[in-house]
Amino acid sequence: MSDLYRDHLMAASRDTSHRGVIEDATVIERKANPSCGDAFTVYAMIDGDELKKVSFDGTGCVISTASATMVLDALEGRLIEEILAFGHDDVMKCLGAEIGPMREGCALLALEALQRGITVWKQDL
Amino acid sequence: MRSVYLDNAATTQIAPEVLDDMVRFERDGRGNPHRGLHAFAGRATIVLEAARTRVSSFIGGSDELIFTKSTTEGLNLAIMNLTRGLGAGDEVVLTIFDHHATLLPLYEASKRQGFVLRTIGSAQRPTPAAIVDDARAIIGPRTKLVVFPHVSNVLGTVLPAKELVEIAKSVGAKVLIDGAQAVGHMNVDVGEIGCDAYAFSAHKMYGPMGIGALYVKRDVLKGWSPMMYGGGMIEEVERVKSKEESNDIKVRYLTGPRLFEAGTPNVTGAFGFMAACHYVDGIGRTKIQKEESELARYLIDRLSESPSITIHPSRGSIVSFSVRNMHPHDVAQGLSDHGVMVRAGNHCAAPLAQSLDPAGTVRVSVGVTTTRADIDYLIDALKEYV
Repeated sequence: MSDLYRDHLMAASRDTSHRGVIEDATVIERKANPSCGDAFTVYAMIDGDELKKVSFDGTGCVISTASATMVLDALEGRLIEEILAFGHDDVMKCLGAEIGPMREGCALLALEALQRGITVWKQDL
Repeated sequence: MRSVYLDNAATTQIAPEVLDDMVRFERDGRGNPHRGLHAFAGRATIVLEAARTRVSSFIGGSDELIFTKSTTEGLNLAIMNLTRGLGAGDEVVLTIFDHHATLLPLYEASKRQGFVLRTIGSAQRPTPAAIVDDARAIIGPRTKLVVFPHVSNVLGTVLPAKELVEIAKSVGAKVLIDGAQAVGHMNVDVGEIGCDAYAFSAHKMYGPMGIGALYVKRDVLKGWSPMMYGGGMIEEVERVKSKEESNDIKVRYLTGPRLFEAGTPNVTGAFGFMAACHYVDGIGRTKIQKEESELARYLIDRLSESPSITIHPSRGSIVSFSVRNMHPHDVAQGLSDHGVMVRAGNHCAAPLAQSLDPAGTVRVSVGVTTTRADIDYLIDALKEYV
């Protein structure tokens, strides 16, 4: 991992713009990374078909928190169907570089929590 | 003394290139897959998951593949889940060709739960047409599960898998196939067969002992319970309240194959399983099937030369026979004294073997390294006894 890339991830991991609890969230979903025990809870406010506001809290490594910030920022304002179709390659594009197979679980953690929460919420509608 | 190995239905000899791959994996640094971020853990994770994909594609599977320690473990896991909820009034259909690996777990479940086991097929008429006729007569609205071997380990009979699945599906029954004797000898496509689950193992196809696989349709796997609990199968375990009470925890399990693979997986075995798939496909399963059938045909012709030998209706790579006035164990022991290795007895399929001969049979099973010279050597060794 280059120094430039490391700096980029460190900055994103310290960004708090999508950190914290949304009190009136439509969807609240927790997901853990089984290989390390890191866990995020994702809060999503949904209006119609649109993700109006999204945030996360919990403990995670630089890659998982940086990825959560960048991915959730990219998804805020998008349609539910776009969020469910958002995949591995899209996350890697958000991160801007390859991180290696052992860290993919970290990078996908927030997205997978959000997608699982939305899927369950849709089933209950 | 020469060694002639003719017990390939029990286990095959590991292919040298398979063993080389396994040694390479161990030698170059191993880690625990899905546990750890270092290079060796990463390598083990990649190897395990690549093996899962390759072994699955070997049988045409596009759904889920669970690694097990043996075909038997896969069959037990499947039977435990596919018989859940069955009871009085329900029927499970198996065949006279079933191995104890399906017969016994089904028998135990039937005793506990009260469903009825019904057997189709006849040792004397082991033809696909006769099996299908029997299936049509027996499989009905009460049938909830149909279980059969793809290939009989006693007679080599290839069961009409696709037709049996169609009959089972017409009444809404699930289908589990024991593929142990098929995978190293013929093309297998679970998608085309349409079964719900298919179990097999590496050591029957020139791979290592100690690793098997259970293919399960994705929709069918949902709701299954594992046989074992432990590391590597959870997303998260959380202590929710008191620090004193250990049962105050919340557990969220993984979904998919890893739910059924608690504990450190056999990565070396999985790598060997993948190498065995490459080995068998490198030769070609159509070619293997043709050549093994020709060898078995040649063996049957040679055995027919002796009036004191009764050859049972064998097919494919397996030939079962009886020697007049001689117990199968004594035949096998005598052959072993000449370096010829065959199997004798019930072959873990007692109902079938005993209906052919109360003492069981002598079974010769050929493989990819068997030659006509091996068969000739067997016949010469037999001459002392017949």
